[in-house]
Amino acid sequence: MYKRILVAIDGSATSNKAIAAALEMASYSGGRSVVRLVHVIDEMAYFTGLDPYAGQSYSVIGVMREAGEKILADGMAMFQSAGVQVDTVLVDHLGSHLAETVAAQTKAWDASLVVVGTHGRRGIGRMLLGSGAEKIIRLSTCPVLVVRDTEPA
Amino acid sequence: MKILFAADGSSFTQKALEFLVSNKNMLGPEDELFVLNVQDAISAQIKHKLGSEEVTAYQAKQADTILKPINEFLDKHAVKYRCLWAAGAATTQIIEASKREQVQMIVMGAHGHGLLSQVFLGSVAQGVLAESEIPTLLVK
Repeated sequence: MYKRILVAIDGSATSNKAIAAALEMASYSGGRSVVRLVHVIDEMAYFTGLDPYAGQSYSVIGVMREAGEKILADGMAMFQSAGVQVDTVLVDHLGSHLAETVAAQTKAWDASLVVVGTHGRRGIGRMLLGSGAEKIIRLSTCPVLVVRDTEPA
Repeated sequence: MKILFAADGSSFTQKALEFLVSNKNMLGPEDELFVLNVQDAISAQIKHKLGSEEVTAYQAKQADTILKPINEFLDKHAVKYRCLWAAGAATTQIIEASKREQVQMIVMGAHGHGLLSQVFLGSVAQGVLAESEIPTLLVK
């Protein structure tokens, strides 16, 4: 049974579906699963010249960190109310990328399952897997449960 | 929950089986595991030449060589299952079977057999992820 479930969350509706799926997986283990929620702040997006907030990077990161903490706290509450043992990790090292970070966390924490949500979009986008999720699957060393949001984005 | 397991006989098939037997409690008393093997479609011309019955018999035999060891493994672990096979595009067949059998999860390997299969996500896995409305577990 999956004892160590790592869930990558970003606060989106899709990531909430990933939380729901992780809760279900945890429920099958009869209380033997531990869950770790990981939120990665992708700062690189805010360091490009194209970003209008580039000059205010530091304050922006402060806001992102707060938002990340809120996302993790909300997710954690869902597992706690279901009686599942849970902890959280907020990753905000400079230049940390989602997939690499998830892969590193998977190894370091010795996760037995990774759960990730991927966005379903309309038209041709619907056919494509989000690049973040695709890379997580590619780099992962353990099984990955992929949950799609099929509602139009 | 009802689960569809797409088996192609690759090394992931064994890994996926190990996952499934160690997560047997996912399958409730009313639930079932559907094991699906998809054979390549054979062109109409060849079917016409060889006779469609012959072709079907060949495909069934090919599917059986993959499904038989799975049968034995699942029997040994007392998992309630049903084996299916289909011919056609793997992605389409997997999605169709998942809808037909109303499963709640698809389990499959992340890669197929190809040379660069370790580097890239398999095209079938990618296709299933793009089309599936239910969670898909990719075994690595």
